[in-house]
Amino acid sequence: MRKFRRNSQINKTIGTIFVILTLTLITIGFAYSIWQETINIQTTLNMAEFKILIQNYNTTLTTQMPLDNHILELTGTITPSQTIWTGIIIKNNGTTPATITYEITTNNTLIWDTYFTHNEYFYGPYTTDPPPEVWNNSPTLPPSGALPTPPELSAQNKLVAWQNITLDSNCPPNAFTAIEITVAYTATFQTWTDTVSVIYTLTFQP
Amino acid sequence: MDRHSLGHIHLNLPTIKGEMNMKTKIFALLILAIIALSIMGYSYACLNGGLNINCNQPNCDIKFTTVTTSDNEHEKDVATTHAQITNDGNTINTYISNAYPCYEAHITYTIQNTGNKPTHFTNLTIINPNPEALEITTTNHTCTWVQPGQTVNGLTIVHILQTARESWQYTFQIKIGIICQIEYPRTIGFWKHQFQTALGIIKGRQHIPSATLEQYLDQITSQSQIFSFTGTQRQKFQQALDILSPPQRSSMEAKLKAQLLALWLNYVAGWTNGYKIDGMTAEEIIEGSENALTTPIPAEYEYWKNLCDRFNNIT
Repeated sequence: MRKFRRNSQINKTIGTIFVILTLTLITIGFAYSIWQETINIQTTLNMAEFKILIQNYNTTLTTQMPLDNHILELTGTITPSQTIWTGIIIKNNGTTPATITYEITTNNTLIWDTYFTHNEYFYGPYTTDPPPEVWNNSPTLPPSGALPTPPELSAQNKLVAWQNITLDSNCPPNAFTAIEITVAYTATFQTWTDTVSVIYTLTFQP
Repeated sequence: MDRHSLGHIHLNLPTIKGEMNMKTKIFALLILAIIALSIMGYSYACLNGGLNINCNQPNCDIKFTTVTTSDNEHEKDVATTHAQITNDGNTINTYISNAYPCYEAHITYTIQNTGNKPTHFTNLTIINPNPEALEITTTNHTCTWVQPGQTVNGLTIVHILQTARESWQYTFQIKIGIICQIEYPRTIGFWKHQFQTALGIIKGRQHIPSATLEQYLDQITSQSQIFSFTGTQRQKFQQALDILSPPQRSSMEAKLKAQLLALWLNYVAGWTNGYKIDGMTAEEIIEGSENALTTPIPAEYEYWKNLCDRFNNIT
């Protein structure tokens, strides 16, 4: 009886092993017969950064420092025949080139067109800080060698823009009390734009 | 035991020990010789291109073999795209940096079947979590067969849309699904064996069940212009066997029909997928053969018979 029981146990073990092996072989066979694979194209894409800022400025007016390097607010008085000079260093702080254009807007177009004159002078582009002769050590303003239009600004390059605003000597004393003038420099690349501005708030002093 | 015999035993002991030592030495020498010969053989094999064991086993493998990149920038070089294939050949990793709206990266790649079985592109999945920023177009290889050694080229274009964010990272993935054709066309002998065993003419293992065989014959009857199997299952099998076993000195027409039926059986079994002979698929060869038989064009019988024969013996 004991011998029979032992044989039965052995048979059971062999049977189990046989079934496991058979199942394994079937699984392997099935897996092999439907061999399939996936090949991949994986892409990581980093977008460029597009940003210009006012790195530094020089002006003949009492000034307030811009809060975010995008706006330079200048306040002061202006008298007939006076010329206000302001220079800024615009830096392309992004990773793409930028085309710079500028535009002047005021809150009193009639007065601006009638009694004010304005000129812009551009220097650069510079890969490092602009040379002193076009920035803070210029013997005269505007410095010599100016470009009539802003040059294209490569990534991390700098541009010097000098601008003057002159009030005509014939401006009558009651022509206006104050005027706000905004000179906006807009950088463009494809559909991206970024703008820095110089905003003058000038009180007329006859 | 006398004194003399004791002395004799005493004298023989070292001889036995010596024989044992000798046997051990010979055995050791034999093993050393086998090892030395194996090393020499292996070294020689390595010197001549490596050790290869070719048991004609199915080997399914498909890999990217080349990848090149380009873009739509002509004047300025602002963004860059580069790609590389991983060591296992299963993935292309592409890196696009400093991208901007309107930028287009072109990734051109080659896929090669490096195995010994035809492979089939089954699906294409583009996983693009940011369709508002990226437009991805890619060659769809689905339903294309690639023969062993054959290559296919593909192109993936990534177009950055206007709404893409600056200083941002995007990722996407393209998955190309492939399956391998493990099955292959069988010879006319194989099919004869199936019908013979099904009819009980010979004893042996029947690989394809009778019901499946009958299904195959019914399918052929409905699609073929030449073959028509009617009657009971046995009658159909007998008709098929008669066609597959033309007499020794039979006509070229009978030989063509025999090979054509074997090809039909392979075709309906799905074992011809992905294979080609002289640039022709099984379907095209069947069509050509049936056209030659129905027209009839006896001058072409041998040509089509040979093509069917070669297809049935493709492996």
